[in-house]
Parts: sequence; C-alpha cells; structure tokens
Amino acid sequence: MGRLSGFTLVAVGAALLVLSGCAATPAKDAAATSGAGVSLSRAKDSLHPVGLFGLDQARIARTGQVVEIDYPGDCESLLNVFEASQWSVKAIMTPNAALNEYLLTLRMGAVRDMVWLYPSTVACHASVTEPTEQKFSFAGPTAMTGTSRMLPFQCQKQGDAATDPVTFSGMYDGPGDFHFMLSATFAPKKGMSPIDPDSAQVSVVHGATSFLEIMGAMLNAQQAGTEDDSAMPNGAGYYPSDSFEGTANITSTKPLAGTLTLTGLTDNEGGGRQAVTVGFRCAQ
Amino acid sequence: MKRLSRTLGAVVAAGTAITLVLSGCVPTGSQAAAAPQTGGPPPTLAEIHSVSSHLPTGEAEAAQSLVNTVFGADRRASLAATAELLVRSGIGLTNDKQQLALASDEVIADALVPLAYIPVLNDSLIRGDFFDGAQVATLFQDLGVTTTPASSDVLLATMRGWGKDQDAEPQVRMAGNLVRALAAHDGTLPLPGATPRFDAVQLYLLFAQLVGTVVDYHPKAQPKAAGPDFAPVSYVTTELSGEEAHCEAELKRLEKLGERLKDKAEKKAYTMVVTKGVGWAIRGGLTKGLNEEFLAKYSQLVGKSFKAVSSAVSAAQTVATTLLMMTGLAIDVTDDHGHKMHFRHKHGDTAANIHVAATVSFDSSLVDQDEYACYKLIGLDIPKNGTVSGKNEKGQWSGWQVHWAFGENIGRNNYYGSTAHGAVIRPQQWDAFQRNHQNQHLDENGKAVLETMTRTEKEPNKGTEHKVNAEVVATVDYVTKLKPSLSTVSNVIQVIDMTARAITFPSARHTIEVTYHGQDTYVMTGHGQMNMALLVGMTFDSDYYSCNGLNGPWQGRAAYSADTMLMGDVAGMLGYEGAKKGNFANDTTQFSLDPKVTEPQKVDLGEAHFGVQVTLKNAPKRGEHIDGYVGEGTWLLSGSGVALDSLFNRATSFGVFSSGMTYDVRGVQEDPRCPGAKFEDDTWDD
Repeated sequence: MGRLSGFTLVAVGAALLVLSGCAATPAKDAAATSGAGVSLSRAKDSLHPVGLFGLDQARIARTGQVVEIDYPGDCESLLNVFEASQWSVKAIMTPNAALNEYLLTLRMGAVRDMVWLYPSTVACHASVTEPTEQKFSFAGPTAMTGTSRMLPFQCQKQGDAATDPVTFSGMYDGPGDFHFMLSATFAPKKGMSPIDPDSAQVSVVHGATSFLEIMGAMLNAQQAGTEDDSAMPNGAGYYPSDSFEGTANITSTKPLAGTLTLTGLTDNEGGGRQAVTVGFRCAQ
Repeated sequence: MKRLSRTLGAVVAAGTAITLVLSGCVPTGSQAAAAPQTGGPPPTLAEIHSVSSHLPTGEAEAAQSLVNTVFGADRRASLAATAELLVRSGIGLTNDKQQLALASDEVIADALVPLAYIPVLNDSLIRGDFFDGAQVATLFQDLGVTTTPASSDVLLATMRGWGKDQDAEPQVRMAGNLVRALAAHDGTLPLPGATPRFDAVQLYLLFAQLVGTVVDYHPKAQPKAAGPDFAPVSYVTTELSGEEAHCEAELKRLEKLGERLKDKAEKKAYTMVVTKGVGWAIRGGLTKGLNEEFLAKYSQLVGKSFKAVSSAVSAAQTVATTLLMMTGLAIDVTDDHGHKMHFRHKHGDTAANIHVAATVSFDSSLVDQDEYACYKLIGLDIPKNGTVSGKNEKGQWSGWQVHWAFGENIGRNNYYGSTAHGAVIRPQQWDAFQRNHQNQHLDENGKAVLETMTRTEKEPNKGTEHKVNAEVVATVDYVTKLKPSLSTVSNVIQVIDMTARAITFPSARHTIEVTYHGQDTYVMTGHGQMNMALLVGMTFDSDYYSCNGLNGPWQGRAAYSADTMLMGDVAGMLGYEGAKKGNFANDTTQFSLDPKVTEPQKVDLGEAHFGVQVTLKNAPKRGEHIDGYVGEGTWLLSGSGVALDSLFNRATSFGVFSSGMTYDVRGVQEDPRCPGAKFEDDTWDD
C-alpha cells in the first residue's frame, strides 16, 4: 500500500468535486425509518439531538439518520450554538465563491456526524447525518475485517422512475486508523442486482481522523496550493479490472440498505485482485 | 466609610463567616442540623447510588440526565443528583464524621465537600443564583489566581471547550459536559459575545479543576481509608472556643489531614501544585491565555502569598470551600403581578406598574450564629441566620443593599431588539435610580423593592398581542468599613482576610413577561442566484409582506433576470416554455396563504409561469403571532419550484449550482410598509 498521489483516486476526486460546489447534497426524498444511529439518535422519544443546546427556536425534524434543523439565525450563529454544546466542530468546507454552504463534522468522543449548513436570508438550515455501524471485509492486497462507522455521502437516484439506478457513496471509519470510501451504482430493488462496473471504486486511507476530515485536509491543501505527495495519506485506490464482478444484495428500500460485494478490483498498476464486501445504508 | 466594590474589596460578613467556618471557628454539624433547612436532609449514599445506577452510559447523556434530575420534581432525587454530579467531576463528599464518604477513582483532595452542604448548594441551583463573568474574573484575580481579570471571551471559550479533549480525564470530561448542560438549562449558553454566568456548581468546578490537586482514591484497597489515618479535610468542628489560636490550629489541622490524604495516594504527586504550578487544569478546553494565567499565577501564589501557611493544601481548600459556602447567601426575587405586565393604556397609569422585591437571606445551617470566634478578629458583622437586616442594632443602615440591573432585559426568545423601540421595562423613579447608582438599601426585613413601569400603547388593545421577556437582575452588595491591615495579627488571619476580601455575592434574575398589542406582520424577502454550467446566470428576487397575519393579503414584488446569452438553450434544458431573455417583475399581484396548509402553495405571476412558492412549516395558531421563522419560499419557473426541481438540484451532473434559492417566511414586530405602529415610541414617565 503506497501513498495516495494527489487526486488520482476517483472517489476522493468526486468527493472533492462535491465540496467544490459542483455536486451532491443529502437526498431530499425521505422515508421514516427506525434508525440505528450511535450518536444523536440516542435521544429516545425526542427529535432533539443529544448534546445540542440552544435550539429552542429551531424547527427540528428527523428522518432516518438525518436530523434537519431550521435555525432562525445565520449559520455563524448556528455554528456557535454547536460549539457551545457538547460537540466539537471541525469545518471541512466553508462558503466559497462556488458554493455558499458549510460542510462540518460534529465530534463527541469517537462519534463524528456529518453536517451541511445552508444559509438563507435570515435562517440557517442544517442537515445532520449520523453514522451507522456496518460490517466489512477486505481480501487481497488490502486485508482487513471489522466494523466501521459509515456515513452515507451520496444516495442519488439517476432518474425519476422507481427502478432507475442509485449511486451510493459511503465513507467508512475504523477500526483504528483504517478508513475507506466506496462508490457503486445499482438498481434499488430488493434482492440481488449487479453493480455497474463503470461506477465501482474503493479508496483506502490510513489516518488518525475520519475519511471526511482527511478529505477536507486534502481539499484545503489543494485550495492553498500546498498539495504534494507528502501531504497525502497512505492508502490505495481500487477499480474494476476485466474480471470485475459486483453484486448488490438489497435488504431494504426505505432506507436503501444491504450488502455490496465487489471482486476483481485492481489498483492503479493493475496488480493483485482485491475483493470487498461491505454493508451499507442510506441515511433516509 | 469606604464603599467597596462588590467583587474586589468587600470584607463581607457572610464571606468572613464562611471563611471562619473553614478555619474551624464555628460549631459542628450537629448544631447545624438543628438550624432550619429549606432543602431537607442531605442525600443518603443509597439515594446517590440509585441516581447513579440509572444514568445513561454516555457522558453527555449522563450529564443531561443529572441536570434534568437536579431541576426535577423529585426533591430527594434532586439532592442525590447534585451530589452525584460533584462526585463524577472529581469532587469527594465527606460525611458527618469528617471522613471521605463518596468519591470517584480520582479525587481533588483540596476541594472536598461535606454531604451536609448538598441541600444548600442544591437550593442555590434551584433558585438560579449566579455570578457574572466580571465577578468571577475579579474573584480569581483577588485570590491571586490570575494577575489580571480573565476576559469574558476567555471565560466563555473555556466553558465551550472544557473537557472536549477525548484524552482528558473522565472527571474533566464530565465536568465540562455538566457545566454546559447547566448553562443550557439556564438559557445562558457560552456563546461568543455573551455575558458569562456561573452558578455555584459551575464556579466551584472551575476553581477546583483549575487549581485542585488530584489523588487516586481506592477505598477498597485501603481498608483503613475511613479510619483516623485517612480522615479528610474538616470544615466544622466542635472543639472551638474562639480566637486566633483556634483559627490557626484548625488551619494547620486542615493542612495535616490534607497531607495525610495525599500521602495515601498512589504515585500521585500532590506537590504538583506546589512544585510545578500544575493542577488538574481543564485540559483541552482551557484557552491558552487563561491556562497560562491560572497556572503561572497560582504557582506564584503557592510560593509566595500562601507561604504563611506553608502549604498549598489549606489555601486551596480554604478558597474552594469559601466559594462553596458563598451559596449560603441567597437572594430571592419576586413581584406582585405574577411575572406579567402589559403596556399601559394611558400615560401615567401606575396601576400597571410592577413591584419587584429582592429579599436577601443567609443560610447558616453549618454555622452557629453565636460562636463566630474568629469573626471578631476581622471585625465584621455576620448576618444572623434568616433574612439579612438592612438595619443594625442602632437602627442605622447596616451596609447591605441590592444592586439592580436591566442590562440584559431582552430575552432570547423574541425579536423585539430588531427594531428601535428601546427597553420595555425600567424603574418608575428613574432619576433616583441613577442617582443611587442603581443600588437600594435593604430594609430591616432584608428586602428591597423596586417599582418598575413599562410603555404605553398608542391605540390600546388594537392589533395582535406580542410578548417580550424582560429581565431584572438583582445582586447582593455590602458596604462596610475597612479594618486596618490585619497583617499584624497573624499569618493565618492574613489567609482568612485575603479570602474574605475576594468574596463576591450572588445575583438572581427575574423574568417578567411583558405583553402589548401591535401589528401582525409577516415578511418574506429573498435573493437567489443560479448558474448553469458557468454559462448562464439568473437572479431571482422576492419582497412580500402581509400586515394582517399570515393569511394575507400579501403584497410586494417578485422578479427575475437572466443574462442574454444562450437563454434559448437554458429554456430547453429547463424544459419550460418561454422564460424570456432580460428582466421580468411583478408588483401588482396580491395573494393569500392558507396557514393550515403545509404543502407548497403556489402563486403564478403570469410571465412564463414565473411565480413564488411558499411552504409553511411553523404556522401560528389562530390569534397567535410568531416572531421568527414560519416557513420558507422559493421561486417558480414554468410552474415548478426551482429549489425542489431535481433538474436544479446540485446533485445533478449538469453543473448547476445555486445559492439563496430558498428564503424564510417570518413574523416580525413591525414593518414600515404596514400602517401605523400601534404602540408608543419611547415615551417614558419619569
């Protein structure tokens, strides 16, 4: 496993494109689920997130792993409220010329939630996505089995029809310094479906912080013009080879959840064959 | 006669009493038990264990649960939760036998708290007594902990970051969680720019964790822990007969016992404070500036100021317990209108005035009123148990007074401050109020009463009733003679004197709901931009208002403009017919909204089905007015809401991105476009 070179990893590059203002935000169409969050959702019988204070005037709604907050004030004020609460705030992206939004992580202990903030005229709208725990298994050049905290970064339908495929991208953190991001496109129907070979990609990085925070550091380095190989975390990128096979085993459609199995992946140099099996769950 | 500042120089009777209690010049717990207690008996270990065993495992959740229980209806659980939150923050609790009764595995050896004092501390929390940032900063400076007063920004940043470092000790993390949970309950989050407020627990934890000495505590591993060799610091004693010798003897006993406790600790250097100036600092959360201030100065303090008592142990314990005992001085604020008042309907109508009364009392449940042996050494007047009289035995003013403030009179749950109205409440006798520097002497019953007035409605009862939460803050103050320097008495008394001079007194706030009738105005204003593949730009504007409630009629203006390049292509991409090049505006259409409908409500303005779309999410009930967010709006193109159209969603791969495509619909106090403000501007009676 070598050091990642710049933005050659497609998944990371796609994520950075999002951060640059050209792509996804959390999906808006939602269905209520029971939720299995390990952080904010622990507030039973309440929509109010645990450890977030000062939201008396805010409208709060929960759908699955996402808590939506409409805060009657600007986003700087809402950031201050977060920081005055029990969580630590780390900015991944702040408003720029291309996109007037914030991307943050809220940290409490080992838990990191992903937060998008969208300012409007006199309000700030926050979308807080909680991680879920997912099992995974890597076999091949990268060998690792365990349980990660997964943040769904994208669950995007590719058309209006119910049967149109969905592109999923998830960031997985842990155990330890092991992090990865996986992207795949497949049909959102229960049972087994093939994964589009053109869509599959897996990026693995090692670092002390979460994948999202590592990605933010890379973005900042890029924007500051300080990007170089030494700043890149150790890791690897895997893409479909000629022998690629991918299967999505969908167990739930609301929220979309199941297991993704990818075999016949290879790295940039075409060496080795990597297999990955991982659980996933969209936030809504 | 010299008037001492409330925080700097007050050689305060109560404070002195407290200090004397520390020094052992006061009676025992058994005598204290006979004193009237509003808080009931201290919690039992079984009660504390019961609360502890039902707490969630997560630290933030546990802190929230403890705070909820402290302010809950179950009095016994409230007391137990107060004890438990101290224990989880590293504060050890001592029993009537002056033995350590309950502690976490690491305990701050010089910040022990008697179980008997839990009800007093709990009462202070329930009452809502507090110390503001300036008081706390000056207190620490007077104690020699800092060289200059810590700024509000530093104090607030410290509260925000306290214990958020994952590597911090569990007791520090828990204390941080508790401090913020208490602040949240109090509605005083440590937001940047806010005025810091500390309740008794927050202040005590701040001091204890900054300068306290941490030792391991393993009661099971040391069977003799509860025996004489492990006797903890004592706060009260029956062995007193007064005078300096007893004070000094007791202080030295405190040192000795504290050192014994520390000697029993496993490999924990109690000398940290003495030798390194490093206590159990609030790691990870303390701002660098304050951290350096505290530790550097405290090291100096240990080395110099407290040299008289030869050890930092009793010094820290003396100060810590003084902070704790300060909560025995209480201020209770009430009014004669049930916390409510309404704007006057005619000028000069004093019937609408409200009388705010502050009553000061001293809970000396741990202090015998007749035996303040060391008190006379300082030469100060200690109040009797119960209300603090404003008159001495000669019928003269005793020096006790209340300082009133309206500085934070605008509550956080309103938008009243957004318009230039001025304060909603002020003293009836404004000139006298200013002339007396906002102070008012206590009467012989320990009470000070302030008559307050509000404003006048120009058109009484016309319009919608609005509510504003006004706040009156009352702070206990004391003015007395300074005795000549006590340095000639003894070194021990210097310590007592130094601590007493640093004493500051609690404040209490009183919230009054002020209602008045005015407009029922709602507005929605937005400006959005959309950029398609960096080739075509469009801007959208809305500026609508309703003077008659959320349902309308709404009037105002909406417009869009598009650059002239490639507009035809854009139209095709959007799939609508005829959003034309150039500009379009409509300022004639009026419309209404149905407050009961939560689905998007569309207003077609005609031009290529351009319009606005409103989604109500927090509509007021009939007869209500909401100040603030009630829903949001966007624009329509070809009859579709642009912020909801998937084609315009940033998630598409068309390179479409935008900003400001939604805007808030909100209630306001007034809008200049609506006819006639319905209440008087700043016409006060003096």
